[in-house]
Amino acid sequence: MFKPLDALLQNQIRLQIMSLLMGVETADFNFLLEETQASRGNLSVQITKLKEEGYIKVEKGYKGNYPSTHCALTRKGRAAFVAHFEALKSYWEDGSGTGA
Amino acid sequence: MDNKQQLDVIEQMLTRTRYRMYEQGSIFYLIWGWSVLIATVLEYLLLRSNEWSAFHWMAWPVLMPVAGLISAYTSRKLHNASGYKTLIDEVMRYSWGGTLLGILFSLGLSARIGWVDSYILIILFYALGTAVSGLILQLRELVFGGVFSILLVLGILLLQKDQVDFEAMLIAMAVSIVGTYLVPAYILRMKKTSDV
Repeated sequence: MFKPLDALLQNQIRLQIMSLLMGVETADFNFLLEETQASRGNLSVQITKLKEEGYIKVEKGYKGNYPSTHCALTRKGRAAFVAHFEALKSYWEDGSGTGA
Repeated sequence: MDNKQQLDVIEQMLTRTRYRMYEQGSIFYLIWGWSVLIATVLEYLLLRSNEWSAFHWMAWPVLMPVAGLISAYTSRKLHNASGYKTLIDEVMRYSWGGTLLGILFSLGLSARIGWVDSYILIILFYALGTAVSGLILQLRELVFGGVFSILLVLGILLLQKDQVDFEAMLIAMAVSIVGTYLVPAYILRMKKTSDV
């Protein structure tokens, strides 16, 4: 019996954002931009989608004199990521890892 | 993206986070490792020289504040450039704050217990600090580095007190700092470039 995959996390940029946030407490927009190699616009759209789903929280602030955006996983987001990862692993361990 | 590609993305992102940990962790071990090693070797050489033996301690008050300033500057620079915050950073700060207090306490005790025993305590404190850091960061190189010096201290304690004079203690400290700070730091830097 396969565990269901999270449709929201099957997008590469969104999965990258969630994976990066798993390893840190908070990350700013520029860090995510650098690590995901996404365009500013695309990253912004994907962050908004994750925020709307309640997977991440976004706080606007200042770093020195410059505005900065900080992202962090919510409890719901962490649980969703773990469930998605477990589901991916179950497909892979079963040997049918190529299914989308 | 198929499932395999998704697993690859997750692995790649987690590796990138570890890459940053290697980078941030190893730089401080190199700064302090080289500073302590140079100070120890200089103290040993001065102690053995005829003209300068009275000033054998001179390297410490010069090199330690310099290492402290370089560390503070590097830490600030890395913090500003990193763009992320981890709970581990906070835990590490407290852990090394405690280690520093222990080292200062050991230095303060030197007048009572003598320099040999004081250096044993100092080695023990930084060895424990390194081993605990390794456990927190899940970097076994640091755990092994810390255990190396703890075993070295145990070996020294098994010897008779008159078998370990101050010069022998300086050699032990030089060996300890190489095994605990420098070797793990260089291994981590090599891994940093091979992992990503």
